Amino acid sequence: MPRQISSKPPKPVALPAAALHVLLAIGAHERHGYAIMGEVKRITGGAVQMGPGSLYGTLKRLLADGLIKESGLRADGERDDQRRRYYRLTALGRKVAANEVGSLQSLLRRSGARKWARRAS
Amino acid sequence: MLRAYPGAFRGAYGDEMVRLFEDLLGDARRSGRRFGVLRLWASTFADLISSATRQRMENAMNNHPALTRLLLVAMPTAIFGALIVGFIGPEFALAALALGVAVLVARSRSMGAALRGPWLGPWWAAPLMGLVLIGAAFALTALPGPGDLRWGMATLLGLVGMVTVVGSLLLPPFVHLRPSQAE
Repeated sequence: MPRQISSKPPKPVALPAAALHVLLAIGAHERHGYAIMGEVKRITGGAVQMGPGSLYGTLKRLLADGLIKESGLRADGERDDQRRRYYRLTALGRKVAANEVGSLQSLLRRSGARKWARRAS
Repeated sequence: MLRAYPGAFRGAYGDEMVRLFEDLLGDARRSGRRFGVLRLWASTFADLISSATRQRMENAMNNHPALTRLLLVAMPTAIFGALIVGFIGPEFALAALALGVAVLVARSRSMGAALRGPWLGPWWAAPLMGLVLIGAAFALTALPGPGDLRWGMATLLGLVGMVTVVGSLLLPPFVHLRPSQAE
């Protein structure tokens, strides 16, 4: 008997906004906390500025969910010689981030995002 | 300030958080903005309050899930019940108890599973205890004695019994679901 293929679209992952920001900020790189915070601020145009407690609370949760992993302690040559903990996405984290971005893009496409952008400008 | 966070969180991330704050402090001083350092302290303090509270709540939920859920549900429910008795009348408390019994019967399986954490008894132990408390509440109303006191105690007992039902309805938002770890 042929396998039934579901015609329903995949369920979007209910990721908190802070978690998505951190996943996108890490991206394809390995980043430490300060760099993640700076990248979040940059990609959101300064709209989101995470505090240390929120950032590390989010990192802790992403580590527990297996979406990121630590990639070692080393110095950031551009800043100082203090050893910092770096983080990178896991394969699952990349998949979850891609799913979330895809869902947002579909939402914007279906809702006619251009007319909202025209109204905002 | 780090002492506001649970010990495990402080041990794992305390040094990094201090280092991050030092980086931000250096940036604020170098930026030349008016009150830059003061703004940083204010925003960090606000972040401390919200994030430390969240970490403490998660800690309590992970270590004592049933007790924490009961407290989170029992306190507002008891306050709401006291308001009903105080301002509207004890007769409405009976309606709330009846609703609680109906929902308890409907959700007894899931409630028992949710409260099974620290208790070693079977799944029906928690809903049975809730039913006993509600039964005791009804029995109190039939006993002789000062009416207001009896109704007050009956309402309180009935509300505690209903808490187990309300808890099963409110539990899903408090559960930290972990996605598959497969890579």
